[in-house]
Formats: sequence, C-alpha cells, structure tokens
Amino acid sequence: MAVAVRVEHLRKAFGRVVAVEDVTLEVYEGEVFGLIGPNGAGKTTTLRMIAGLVKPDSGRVAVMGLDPFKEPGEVKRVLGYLPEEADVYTRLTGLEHLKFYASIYGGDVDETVRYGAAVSGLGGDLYKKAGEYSKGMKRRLLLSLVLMRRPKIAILDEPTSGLDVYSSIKVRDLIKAFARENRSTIILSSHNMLEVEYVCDRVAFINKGRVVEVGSPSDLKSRYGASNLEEVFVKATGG
Amino acid sequence: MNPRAVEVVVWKELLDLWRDKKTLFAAILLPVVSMPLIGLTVLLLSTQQPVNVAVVDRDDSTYSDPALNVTVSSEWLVGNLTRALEAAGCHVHAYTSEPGNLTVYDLVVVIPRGFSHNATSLTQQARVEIIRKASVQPALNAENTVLSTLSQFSRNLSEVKVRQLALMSGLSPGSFSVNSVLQPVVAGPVLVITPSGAPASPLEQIKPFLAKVLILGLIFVVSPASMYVVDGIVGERERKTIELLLATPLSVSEVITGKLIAASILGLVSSLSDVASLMVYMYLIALSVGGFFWLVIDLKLVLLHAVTAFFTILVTVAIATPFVTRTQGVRSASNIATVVNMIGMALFFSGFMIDYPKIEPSILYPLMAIPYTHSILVIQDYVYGMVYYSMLHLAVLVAVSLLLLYVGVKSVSPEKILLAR
Ligand SMILES: Nc1ncnc2c1ncn2[C@@H]1O[C@H](COP(=O)(O)OP(=O)(O)OP(=O)(O)O)[C@@H](O)[C@H]1O
Ligand SMILES: [Mg+2]
Repeated sequence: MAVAVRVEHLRKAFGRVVAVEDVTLEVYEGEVFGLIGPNGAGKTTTLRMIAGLVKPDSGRVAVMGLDPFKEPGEVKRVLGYLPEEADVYTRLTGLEHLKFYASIYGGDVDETVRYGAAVSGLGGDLYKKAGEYSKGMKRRLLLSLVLMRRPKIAILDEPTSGLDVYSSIKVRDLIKAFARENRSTIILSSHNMLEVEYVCDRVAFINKGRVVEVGSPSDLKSRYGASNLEEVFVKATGG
Repeated sequence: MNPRAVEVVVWKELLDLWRDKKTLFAAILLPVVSMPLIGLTVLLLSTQQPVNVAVVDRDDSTYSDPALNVTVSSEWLVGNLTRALEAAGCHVHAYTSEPGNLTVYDLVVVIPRGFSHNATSLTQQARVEIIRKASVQPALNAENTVLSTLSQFSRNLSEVKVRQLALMSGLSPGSFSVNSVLQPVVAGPVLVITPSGAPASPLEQIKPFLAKVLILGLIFVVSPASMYVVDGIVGERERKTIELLLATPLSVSEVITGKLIAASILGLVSSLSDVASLMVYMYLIALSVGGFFWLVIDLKLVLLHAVTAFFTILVTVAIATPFVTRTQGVRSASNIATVVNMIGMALFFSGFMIDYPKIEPSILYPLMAIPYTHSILVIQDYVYGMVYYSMLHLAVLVAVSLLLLYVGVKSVSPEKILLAR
C-alpha cells in the first residue's frame, strides 16, 4: 500500500513544555486513520505540523512525498485541514462561506459550492447568517468547507467535538461516505473511542507526546484481549 | 503572491465589513461628525466668551474751537465705540466716572477730561487711554475694534480740520482734495499671486487652508483603519476563524495582504467622507457668510487626497503588522497600533499648523525618514503649485508603503499567528 503521510521522529516544544516528544507514523492512501489520546497528549500539535502550520523542532513530515515546509503550495493543494477550534464568520451566511472558500480553491467554483452545500446538509439554512447557527450546524459547515474540494488527504482535528449524539452520528457517516466516495485519506483525532472504532481503519494511541500503539481496532483488541478500545488504551498506557 | 487570491480575501473582508455597521459607522461618521464639530466648537467658544468693556467718559463735554469753528463731543466717540464693540459681540458699559471695580472688565477705554477741547485744537492731540487684561485673548480683538474706531474718528476729524484750514487760507472748495493733503502717498492695488506667479483666484487663496484641514483629517482616517487591521488579524485569531483560512492554499502573505488592502479601502472611504463633510462644513459657513461655495471644490485635490490617504493607511498598517501579529490579545495589539497612530497624529497636526515646503532642509530631510512627511508634502506641495514635487513625494510614499507591506507580510508566519501567547 502506498504511503500518503509519513511522519518521522517529530518533536516540538513550547518553551519548557514538550508538546510532542517523538512521533513516528505511516498513514496509507485511502484509509481512515485515527489519532487517540488524552488531553494534552500532543494530537493537535502533531496534526498542525502535518498541515504545515507549525514547524517541528526536529523530525520530518512527508505528505505524498512532499515536505510541507519546503513546498507549502504543493502540499496545500492536496491537503485539507479542519482545526480543532474553528469558528465561522458570524456576519456571513453559510452560502457566502462556501463561495469564499470555493473561490480560494479555484477551478469550477459553482460546482464546488454545490458539492459543499450537499456535504453540509444545511439546505435552506445556508441562506442564514452563520452567527445564528447551532454548534452542530457550524461544525458541519466548517467540515464542508474542508471537504468541498475533495482533498486527497483530509486532516480533521476532533471533527465531532462538542456535538450531541445525533449530530456526531451524522458527521461520522458523512466522513465515512466521503472517504469511500473519493478514495481520500483521512486522519482524524478524537477522545471518543466508540467513534474511532466505528469510523477508523487503523488507529494510533498517543500519550505524553509519544505513540504507544498502532493497529486496526480489531487487531488491537485481540492483541490486548480487550472487549473495546477503551480497555486497550488503559492497558497500553499502563494506567 | 497571486493577485487573484488576494482579491478573494479582499472581497470577503469587504463583505464582512459591509455587514459590520458599527465599524463602518465609526469610519464614516467619525470624520463627518468631528469636522463640523471642531468648527462649531471654535465658533461657539469665541462667541460664548463675551468681552466686558467699560467706556469711561470722564470728559463728558462738547467743545467748539472758536478759531477753527470745529465742534467735537465726547459723546459722539462713546456712541461710535459702543456701536462698533457691540457689533463685535462685546458687552459695553458706559460710565461718566470711573467705576469702582475695574477688574470685572477685560478692557477699559478712558476718555480723559479735556478730550473734546484737545481734539478740536490746532496745537494739541487728544488721547484715549486703554487698559487691557493680558490673560483674555478676545480682549485683544476688542482692543483692535477700539483702535480702528479711534482711527476712523480721528480721520473724519482731520478731514473737517483740513477743510476748514483750506477755506480759511482762501482756497475755493473745488480746488483741493482733502485726501491729497492727508494721504499724499498710498499703496495699491495689491495683487495676490500663486506660488507660480499667476494671479490667485479667491479659491487659491483658501486652498492652503483647505489642504491643511485635509491633512488634519488624515488623523480620523488612520485610526479606524489600523483598529480594523488589529481586529482582522488578532481578532480573527480570537474568534478562531484564521486557522482554517491559513490551512487553505492561500499563503499567509496573501491573507495578510488582503486584510491590509481591505483596511486601506476602509480608510479611503473614510477619507472621502472626510472631504465630503469638510465641504458641507464650508458650505454651511458660506451660507452664513454669504460666500461662494463652488470655489471650494478642486476635484484634483480631492483625488490626490484620497490616493494619499490610501497609501498613508497602507504604510500605517504595514508598520503595525509585524508587531500586531506577535501580540496575544486585541488589547495589546491595539496599544501598538495606537503608538503608530500617535506618530501620525503628531505629524498631521504639525502639518495643519506648519507649511512643510518652507521648512529648512536641515530639518525637513531627516523628517522625510518618516513616511507621513511625504503624505503631508504630497498635498502641501500640490497646493503650492509644485506639482512635480508633489508627484515625487507621492511616488516615494507609494514605494515606501509597498516596501513596508512586503517586509511586514514576510515577517509573519502561520505559526506566529496561531501560537502567540
Ligand atoms: N501555543 C502553545 N504554547 C505553549 N504550549 C502549548 C501550545 N500549544 C499546545 N501547548 C502544550 O502542548 C501540549 C500538547 O498540546 P496539544 O494541543 O497538542 O494536545 P492535544 O492532544 O491536542 O490535547 P486536547 O485533546 O486537549 O486537544 C499541551 O501540554 C499544551 O499545553
Ligand atoms: Mg487537541
């Protein structure tokens, strides 16, 4: 299987806080890959480094074989990134968001907007100001802004954070369908083991800036003799 | 940098700005309101401060010189003074003896005993004493009114005296002119010309003043624009909208450039409303004075001012960018923007007071290191008729703003914007 994203010995410190100690990962083309770990484990920092937003102190990132810091233009063309804490422009409508981002991406803007509108599932609400949206609607709009141009690789930092059960299910199904339809690679982070087990082909446990385990959910469960991923996580981190 | 990409960012910023009525309101209404307000305040202050004048007629007599057959009454002078002073907005109190408390008056005019006698005499000069309070500025205006009334009174009297003398010496009334005796030499006509030597129209005479007010107006234009940039960069981080944008194919440079250009467009709009309000203000003045409004409009000057405002703002926001992107909150970023604004304000205020083209080169050249000096010179040189130099300074301003824009934008990386703490 071809490697979409390769990360080798990434390290990043903020002053005396070491956010990412030593992270090495391989994500294959077309798979949904989950990054799981407790608060402050270094998930967001790792994803930001892959997206080329934060420069690692040492180590290497390769996206489709390209270095995001040496060839940012090329990498940004194949990569979409949904930040963990993203918000909407309160004074713009959903549709205006779609148009703005579609214009940034270029190509057939109308077609991109149409697809984005479908992905968001917001229907008539797209004509409302995004400031009036609920949290779930906002998250779906933001997700559609990333997915609308069908990126080869999508990095989603906690796509379901703050959403209720129904919204979470909707988003999860959306991500799964999108990956299948477009044969895109997806890397997502989450605290929710259930969600990860449902959506991801493979997962990596990350704790205190290090990768402690990688594998498919079923593989990991049988290896640790656990009934769910939560048990695996507790055993793997020695908790 | 891709111009198309910058254009997309500018479009979004302007759309967002259009919906942000509060910011628009501040940018457009601030100059509209503050310009006439400044004018009104000045007007009100000068009228709300009436000057108290006492006219003390200690002479209080009428005298006819028997030899010359000329009559003068001190009452006439009191009447003339009272009319003139009241027309100038003073409170006039007439006395025939000195009032007890002189300190309540800003100006005291004393007509001494023997005034009418001396005024009609061929050997004496009549005097009028003036006591003015040093601390009251409008008292000086009242004093000038008194002096001009006195000189008019004196002039009339001398005409009468000269006519009497001429008749007494046997000249027939049509064979002499009083003026050729009293004022054999006069100046005039006085020709007002532009700096280039052509006769100046009334418009050109008030143009330098207008230009200075326009320069003062840049103060109201620069501050809302730089606050907008602070909000556009630091505010977008706080509102969590910038990270998604930075991860798109847009480069940071394109995002920041788009924001800076949008801010400059906001400034441009605000400068146009500035000029418009200035014109309305002049129009109102013209209405009340019965002057000529059409003279005020010089479209080339307005256009030049708009272009200058645009690049002045671009310079300001470009200078602020490297600092603004490195601060953590809107408040500390605003503080930095305020410091940059202060430098602008100081210079623009001096541009309101001083004719920059007349400053000594030894002072002016070092000042040119500050980009705002060129903003002032663009407008003032133009008004002075030195169009070539005006364009030269405009070129420098444009070049410096683009250079600073480049440096400012290059100093920013996504990491600096996202991780500033
Ligand atoms: N800008 C920053 N400055 C200083 N420290 C930071 C910064 N960003 C993150 N950190 C620190 O780095 C560590 C890792 O943070 P990170 O956000 O990557 O964790 P995470 O796994 O995404 O956590 P969460 O599940 O809460 O989102 C934390 O200890 C955090 O406090
Ligand atoms: Mg995180």
